[in-house]
Amino acid sequence: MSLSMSLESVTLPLPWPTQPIASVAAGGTWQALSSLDFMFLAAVATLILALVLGRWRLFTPLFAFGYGVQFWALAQADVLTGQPLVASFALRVLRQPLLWRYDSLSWFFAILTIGAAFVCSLFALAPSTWRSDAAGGGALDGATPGIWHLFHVALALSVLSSLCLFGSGNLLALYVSWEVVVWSFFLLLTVGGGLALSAAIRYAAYSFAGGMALLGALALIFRAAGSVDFARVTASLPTLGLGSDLLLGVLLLGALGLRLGALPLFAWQPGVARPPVPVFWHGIAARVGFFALLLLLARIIGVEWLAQLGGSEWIYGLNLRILLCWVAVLLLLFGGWRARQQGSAGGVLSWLALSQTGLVLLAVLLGGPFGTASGLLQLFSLGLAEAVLAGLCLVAVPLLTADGLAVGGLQWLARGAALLAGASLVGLPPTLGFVSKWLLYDALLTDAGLGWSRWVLLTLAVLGTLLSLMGLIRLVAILRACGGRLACAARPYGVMAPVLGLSGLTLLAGVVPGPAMSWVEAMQQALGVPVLDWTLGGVEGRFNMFWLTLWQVLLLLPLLALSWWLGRRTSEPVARARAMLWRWVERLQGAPLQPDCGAGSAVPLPGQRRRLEPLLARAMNGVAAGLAGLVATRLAPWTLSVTLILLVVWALGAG
Amino acid sequence: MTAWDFTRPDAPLLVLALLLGPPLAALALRPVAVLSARGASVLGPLSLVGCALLGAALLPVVRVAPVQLALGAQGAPLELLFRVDPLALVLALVSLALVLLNWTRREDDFDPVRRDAALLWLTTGLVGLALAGDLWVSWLFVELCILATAALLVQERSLRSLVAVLGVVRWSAVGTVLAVVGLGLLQITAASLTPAGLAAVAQGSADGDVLSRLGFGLLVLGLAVKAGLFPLNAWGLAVGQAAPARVLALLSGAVPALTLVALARVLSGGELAGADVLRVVGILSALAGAFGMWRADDFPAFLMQLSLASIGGIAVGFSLPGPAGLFAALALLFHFLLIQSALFVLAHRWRGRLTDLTAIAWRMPWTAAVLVLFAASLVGVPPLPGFWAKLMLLMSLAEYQGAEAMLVVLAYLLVTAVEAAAWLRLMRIGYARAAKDSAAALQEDAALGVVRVDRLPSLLRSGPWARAYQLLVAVLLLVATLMIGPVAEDLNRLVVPLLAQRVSGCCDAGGWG
Repeated sequence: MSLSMSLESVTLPLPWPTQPIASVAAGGTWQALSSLDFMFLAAVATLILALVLGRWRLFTPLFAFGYGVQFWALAQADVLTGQPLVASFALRVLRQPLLWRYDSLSWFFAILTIGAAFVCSLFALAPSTWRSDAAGGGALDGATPGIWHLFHVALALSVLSSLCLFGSGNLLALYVSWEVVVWSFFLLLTVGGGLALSAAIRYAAYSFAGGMALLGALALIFRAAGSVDFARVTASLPTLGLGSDLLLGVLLLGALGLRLGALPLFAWQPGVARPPVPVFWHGIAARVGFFALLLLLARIIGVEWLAQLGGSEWIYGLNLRILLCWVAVLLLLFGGWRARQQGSAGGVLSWLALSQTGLVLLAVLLGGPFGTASGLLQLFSLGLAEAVLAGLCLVAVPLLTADGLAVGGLQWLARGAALLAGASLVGLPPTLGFVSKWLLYDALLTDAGLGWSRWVLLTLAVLGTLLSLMGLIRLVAILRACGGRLACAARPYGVMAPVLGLSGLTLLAGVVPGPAMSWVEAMQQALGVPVLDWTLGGVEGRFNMFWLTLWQVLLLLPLLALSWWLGRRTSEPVARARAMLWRWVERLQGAPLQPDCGAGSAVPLPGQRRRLEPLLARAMNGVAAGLAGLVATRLAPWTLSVTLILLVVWALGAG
Repeated sequence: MTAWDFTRPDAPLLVLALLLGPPLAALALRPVAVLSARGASVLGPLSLVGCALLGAALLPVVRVAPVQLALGAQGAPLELLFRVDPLALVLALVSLALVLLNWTRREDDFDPVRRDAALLWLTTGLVGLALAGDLWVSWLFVELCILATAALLVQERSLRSLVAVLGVVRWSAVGTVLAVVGLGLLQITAASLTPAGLAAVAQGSADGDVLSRLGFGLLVLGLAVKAGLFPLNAWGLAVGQAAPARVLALLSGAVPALTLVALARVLSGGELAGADVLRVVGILSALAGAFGMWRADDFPAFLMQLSLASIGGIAVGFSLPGPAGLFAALALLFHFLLIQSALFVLAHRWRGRLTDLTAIAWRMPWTAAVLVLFAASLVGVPPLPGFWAKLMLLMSLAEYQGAEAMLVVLAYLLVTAVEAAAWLRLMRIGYARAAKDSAAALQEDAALGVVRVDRLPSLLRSGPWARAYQLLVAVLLLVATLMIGPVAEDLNRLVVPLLAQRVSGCCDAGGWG
């Protein structure tokens, strides 16, 4: 027996050495940290507080305060008009850096997110309000401390991960942050269980698939560029061959399509979420993907890409950009049409949100000063409007209910707030929604690159907006039908404050759009897009909201006064007119109304089924059965034979 | 000998003791059982604990300088070569720990001594695989693992298990024939079948020599049969149906994992010969495993397919040249072994159909939460360790040129998406609110006078030790998440000897006398 102790220990450097987990800014003092760092710290602190104290509703105001602190810290960071800020905290894992950098675009999305979370936590302050004799139950009705704990933790985690997403400093940070966002949103959507869990799982499945497509694109880009840095990636894109180019395009389209819920990949859009989750969801969460789209356009692909592709014609005046615009418009129409068929408030809101996503997508694809401005303003106006509607319809006092709580005119205030939100959603003056849609129609009309398609797209966009209006009428009909079955046992003041605040902001930003336009200008500079020539009242040479509002007031005030007077009258002709009006509304609102007065479920009408998922499941079952069959007793020898033959062929071919 | 003296001249003897401990205990079981049944019942676990302590004592020694042990006559294949470096020792310790974890004695065991002996022989095979220094020794211990597998299956004494044993023996023979033919082809082109000789042939295969490519390809396929990789795992289904969960854990986890490591260690060269074959087999296994998870009807089958998918990914990592692929493969391997061991602890109780687990999350919330954490890490949710391991693998694949590499990347992404869908389906079952199905089924059974014990919720609850182990694994995962840097550094150090072995063409000539 021979024994030897030999072999030197050779230390070879791996190409991916590791570094310490985190490094803080030099000096490590509190004074060295910027407002951006404080915002992140506040977000982490809110999460920790939610983890520790979230079980007890007593501490809910503390979490709302935490979001308020984040809002304040972000507002202090002068990234909107100043230079971009880089966070002091950076991670470096397996040699690859993950850093966070805030510019005006990041700031905008972060403000929307923190604001939505703040409002959502304010809604959560209200005690359990709804009792319904429908099976679905109401807003976290009878929620256990565990459910509340999950809600607060999930909301805080969603905000923190979203803030990381909006500050993505490179591709890897974008991917990692977005993955964490998806799973945080998944947690948030599971609150309440039951149908909400199914919806959340569907969301997770589709979004994860989108994440895989994004990871594939990242791998392809990394292969070409050898780095995940935006600048180096941009420089390497022209070196990609045609095949890689196409593959990259397909992967990115798939990733963004799935994550944004674009046609036909929107099946994950959850129709069910326990209130007050829809306030956050419809406020911003459903549209965080637009940040990634804008970031990719601005930092990697370049916004000129859209214009260049628009110049290349294929056949009959169609090219890729125009095709994508069609997809966006179809999403708008489809969403609006489906909204008219829903039987629950939550379902209507979900489909309306999807249809409006189509409008935002259209605006972004149009590009240019008007298109980008419209897209960004729509994100803002939609966030406000849908948060109001979600808060009112799913959390607060039901609208137009005959038996609802009427406390000191709050009912009328609620109706007014809902009217404003609905008008903003549809794009009626003098709301912010009108400003954003005007800019969109202007972009469509003035974009010569669209050729003949612009007229069709414009018509369809207007049609889609009308469909959205009918969706809102459907919503009104549902709430009216459910009004008698719902008894509000809460004090509504706590929830009305944020509703009134948001709807007031919708009106104010519509009448005086200047401040919002200044944000848009800063973001357009960050994107590298030509800047809009704005004024305090609107756009130079295009429209002025001051005058428009004045004319509107002069024209509508008498009408409003008349309808108020008629509404208070109880004479028979008036009652008959009112009944005729409601009959007309019911005829307009689409499919027969079978309202679901629970928390909401986007259940298709009888006879309609989800087609995509069973098809997908069958396909997967088929593939699985096929693969299993290859190693079944009967086929296994043949499989072995084929494997050996292929091996021989490979050896001969490679030799 | 102080605690800090790392130069132990008796290190080779300790290695020998580590290797021979389990088989000697196996041989001693029967005589001890004659004297004392209780003594025989503890001999197996005690011997494993003793070997683990030996291994732990050796670890500081081999960190300084790996130990190479050559037994028998000089020259392959007559010489048994063992190479004990930190990676090998860690793998050996992991094998010992896994066998200990899954050590089981049932009251209805016909002959518990025989079962214990089979487990000890399996342990011998695993430890030997971990410490193997060349192809021949690896093959020897792979065969030993297969024989021990067959012996464990025979203990079940059912028709199903006999069918499984026949399948194992048949397919093992096929694998052996493939490997022998492959080696025969290599002998035509190689000057010798020593590691250095094989390394030279590997270079030739890279240069396009048909016979050597075919030889290495057959060798890889032969080992793939032993490891149960798709499409050569026809014996896996029967074994999955016949073997108990604890045995399945070892057969689907430790055995294929160590087989792959042995393959990576002994097939050396600048570019791993047969790498293309291993990569294709790996990605096909990953695909088959992922879709198998989607289709699985019961929890043990679900875990079997999960193991197949994970092993496939590890095989892809080992097939890549360069250190990043090795690093990714080892990261995936340790991550997989850790979580798989905890999941199979659950499978011991959750043996029925997946639908029987409806609403179980509400009855066992902590277990469900831990399961969700495991699933998240396996699927690759950041910032859990599984995410970084998978990302590393994908980035390594992306660095590898060629259209085929991109195809493998896309296929692996599909695998991950399908795995996620399968886990989400399981979660939907587990977190379903109303256990209507189970309640209705219970009522129906009661009406017929039938009691399905596997449907009784109380029997689904794991024992306290099992729950403690699951919690421990969950804590380890979270700690690794927070300390990903130091964990990666430690893994870095483990990879280096494997890489050095690859670059230098395995062993120094001095080791061969």
